[in-house]
Amino acid sequence: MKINHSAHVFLRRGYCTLVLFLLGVPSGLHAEEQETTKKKRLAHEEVFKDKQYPTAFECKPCHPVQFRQWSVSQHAYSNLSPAFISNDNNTQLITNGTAGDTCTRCHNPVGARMGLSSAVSNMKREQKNREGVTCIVCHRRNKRFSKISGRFLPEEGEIFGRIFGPSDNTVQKETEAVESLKLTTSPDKEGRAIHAKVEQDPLIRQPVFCAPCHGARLPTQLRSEETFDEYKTSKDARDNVTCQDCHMGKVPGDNKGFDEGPAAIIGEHKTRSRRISNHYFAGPDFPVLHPGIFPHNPDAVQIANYEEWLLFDHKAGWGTPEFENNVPEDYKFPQFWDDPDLRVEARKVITENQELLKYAWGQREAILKEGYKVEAFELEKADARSGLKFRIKVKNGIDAHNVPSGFTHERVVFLQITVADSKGNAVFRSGDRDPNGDLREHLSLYVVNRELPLDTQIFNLQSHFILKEIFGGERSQVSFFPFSMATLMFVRPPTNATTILAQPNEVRVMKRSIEPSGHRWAHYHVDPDLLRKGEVYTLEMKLIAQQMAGFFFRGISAVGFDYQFSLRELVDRTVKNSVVVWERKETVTIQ
Amino acid sequence: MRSRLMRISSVGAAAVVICLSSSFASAESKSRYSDQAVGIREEIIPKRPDPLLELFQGFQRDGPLRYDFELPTGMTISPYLVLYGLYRSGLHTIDNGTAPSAQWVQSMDLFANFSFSGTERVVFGVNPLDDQGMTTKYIFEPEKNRGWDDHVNDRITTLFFEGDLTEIIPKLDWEGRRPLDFGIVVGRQPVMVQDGFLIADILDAVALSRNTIPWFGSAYGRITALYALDEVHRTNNKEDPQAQLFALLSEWDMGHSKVNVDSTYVKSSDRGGDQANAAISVLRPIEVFDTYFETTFRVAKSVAIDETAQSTDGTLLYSSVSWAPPGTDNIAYVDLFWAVDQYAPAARMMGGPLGRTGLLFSGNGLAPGSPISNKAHDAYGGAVGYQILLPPRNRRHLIFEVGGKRDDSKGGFNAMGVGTRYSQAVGKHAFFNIDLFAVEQESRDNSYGLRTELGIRF
Repeated sequence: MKINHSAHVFLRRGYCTLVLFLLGVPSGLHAEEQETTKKKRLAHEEVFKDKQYPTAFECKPCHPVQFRQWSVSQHAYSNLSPAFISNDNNTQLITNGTAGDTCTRCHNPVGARMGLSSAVSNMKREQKNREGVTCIVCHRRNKRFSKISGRFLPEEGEIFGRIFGPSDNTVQKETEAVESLKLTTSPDKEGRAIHAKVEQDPLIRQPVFCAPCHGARLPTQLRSEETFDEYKTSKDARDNVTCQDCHMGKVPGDNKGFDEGPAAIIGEHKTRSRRISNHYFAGPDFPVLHPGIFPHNPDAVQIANYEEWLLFDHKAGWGTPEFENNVPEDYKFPQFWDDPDLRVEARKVITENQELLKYAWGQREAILKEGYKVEAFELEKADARSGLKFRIKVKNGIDAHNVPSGFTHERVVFLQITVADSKGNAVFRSGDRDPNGDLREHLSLYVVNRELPLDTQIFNLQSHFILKEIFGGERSQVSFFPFSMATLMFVRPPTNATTILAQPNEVRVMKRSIEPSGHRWAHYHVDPDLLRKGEVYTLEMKLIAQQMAGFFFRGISAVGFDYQFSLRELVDRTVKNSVVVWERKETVTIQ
Repeated sequence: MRSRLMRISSVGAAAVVICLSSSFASAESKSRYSDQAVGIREEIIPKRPDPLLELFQGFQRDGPLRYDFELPTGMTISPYLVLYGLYRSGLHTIDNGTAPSAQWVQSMDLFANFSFSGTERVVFGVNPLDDQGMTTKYIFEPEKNRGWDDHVNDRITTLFFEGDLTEIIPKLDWEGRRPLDFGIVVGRQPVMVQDGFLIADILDAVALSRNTIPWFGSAYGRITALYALDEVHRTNNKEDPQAQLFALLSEWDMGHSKVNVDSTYVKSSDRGGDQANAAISVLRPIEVFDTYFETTFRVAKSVAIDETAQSTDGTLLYSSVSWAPPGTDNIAYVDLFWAVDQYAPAARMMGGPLGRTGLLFSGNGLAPGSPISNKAHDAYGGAVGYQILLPPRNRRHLIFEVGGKRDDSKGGFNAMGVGTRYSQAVGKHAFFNIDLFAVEQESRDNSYGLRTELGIRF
């Protein structure tokens, strides 16, 4: 949806109007300008209104807090993610299209409803098809759904339709009675459009509400998302701690209650205070996109479309006073960004979005640190004969589900160890990365091509798919396609009962995550030939959580990447998004 | 000597890591990820082909979902019905050293899947051209049997319901907090346990599975209780009408290993004989000299409670080691077995348990038998093979294999041979396989064969 030029003109005229007003331009001209401005604003708002489903932008005016939190969330990112888009496209390519809407039903319910596939770039989509798990996905759910693998349809209808929430219609009725707000629940009346009615859904605060996507199966009945199942056998479930308690509460990853506040803020009016949930839903993912594109920001889409935003060099400082006051004469901007006023406006959006991203980073870091704990470091041996032996105890810090959880074959959680002598020379490394950013495991290209040796002591909680080989046994793979078994990948419901083995015949998951309150020991041994007696060595240890492995992107790169990413750039950004959830230094003297 | 060798290699590896990772910046390396920006290649992403028939929500079909129903149990269903299947046709000519055989065989598996939700479904299946392994075919050789051998039938091969307890009866766990993650299945269904070494049969059975069990420090655990009341085929591949099968199956993810521990008891008449079985398998990757190998080790034991022709004592040891050569998705495999006495699977509809060993030990479901016998009686042997996965997108395979079996069982004979297979996908729906093999056999003429298969999925 491209409105950049008219928005640009609108902004300039608005600016000019303001200046003229301040200069005391005759009121007649000013009134005409005001009328034009009002028409343009209304036309502008019309663009965001959707007849089939309201977009989150339509919810924002009355629910600014919830919108702000959601706009930078993983739910909001679920369809914008280039990893998702390419993974879905790659799945379609390999399965000859038979995988159908497997992925989009959870990642983009509105888009799936519209028949939109991931083959269409986000850069070409309407707003409603970019928003992923948007407001109406939860708040227009009119039935109890459980492990339905995303196959439910939010109730259709524009903003005036009913919505579902934790409370009933009492507060809305009170708010409608405030005449100054000029609220309307009908398209036939002038005023601020709101939903006609709020209906209470008692399950919106219960774990089952998350099950449609977080307890999903693939059409082959592979249990792709087991978080809900893991939760149900956990201590937290027995103690009545819900998903929402930890993922929508005050403290990410911990049951420390909720904030209180108004559910809606309309102008100066705030509805009465009650428990409000954090719609950021803290979790392990973080975006790799340009901050003009994500978080979702209505001001951003007014200024430029996605393709134009990609040309805005925010890292160079465009739009900042420091940059704009010192632009070299021969500096070449893309034509669209040639206007310094526009760059300044764009910078405001970038600044706002970067603040949100900083908030999101904090939430994410907090929840990862809740989930992954290092409980002990034990030095077992440090002598010239046996070498250096130590172990580290990594614990699941929560009682709710495994860590990692969900699509666990994506999540890389590993220990990075460096042992260096007193001069700083490293004598041992584990969990270090190859030049591509991958760990030196068997899927690293540098290891495969014998340019680097295999890291034989790596501690990594990443799960793998185990696929049947045509003869013999099974092998681990990045993808879940049984290439060895068949030349033709063709998705149809399995013809055997997958309940018996809890998985299809050809593919299963080797789970390496840590069960609730469980732990794993990582063992390390540095060969005595690498050490000197009497030398003091420093052990640098880090536990790092990375949302996705580089080789995963490699596996899906054949279909290209949205936003014109290269494989290298995408992996680099993902690696940069890694979080160090624990680190420690120890010094050891070799006896 | 060996430990010194290991130490030298680990020291050397460490030195390589330290040097290379601290100064590695070669833009020339073929391992480096591409800097080339490539947008979505819309033109290569295929559209969804429609199934033969789909009703209601459609099978993985995007668009509106207009069929949500709330059942009296409280369960909300989003149903779809899809018809699908696999048609297979194969020409083969085989001379097994005693009698030549040439046939053109047909098979048609037709299924209807009615799904209620993500976890509940009913599957119905027939194979009107294949009656429990007796296929409809035109016989070219032996000449005396030339003509059509018709096995058109209306037997139901599959009819089962499976689901999740708290999905079927949501009121047991309305809010989603109770540990009632039980899977239920009832009906006629193909069952494969221990990769066919323990059970490979179509059983009339009921089973209950409990999933996501975090016992013994495992990341995942599953326990299944299964009872088959009918359609139990014994080690001779014949149905034992009096047999009932009881099974307790489990799977655990422990550290880097996947462990399956399974046990069965077949209760039958005096003629059939009772039999107990147990099997353990461990799947685990191992690293040797900086090379990553996938390994599977299996031990299976059958104990004849009543010794009969179908119920026998035996132990089967099996191992599979595979490796992907650098830079490829190919598979080099070495599969070995050792069968002590007469190992008998708990239930087996066709062939013997060694079919997984290799191309030379497996049937293709159309041609009779396998180039080398896959029964596990007083024998040892194995297969070494290499599967090449060819572009585009691994839609072509080439397998080369050498294998052999020393068979000391009554009536058995030693054999050693070579085999090859070429497979290819064609378009969105079809594939074909061509197998060639030659086997040298003790005490009889050599065996040669050509097997082909054309498959069409819909």
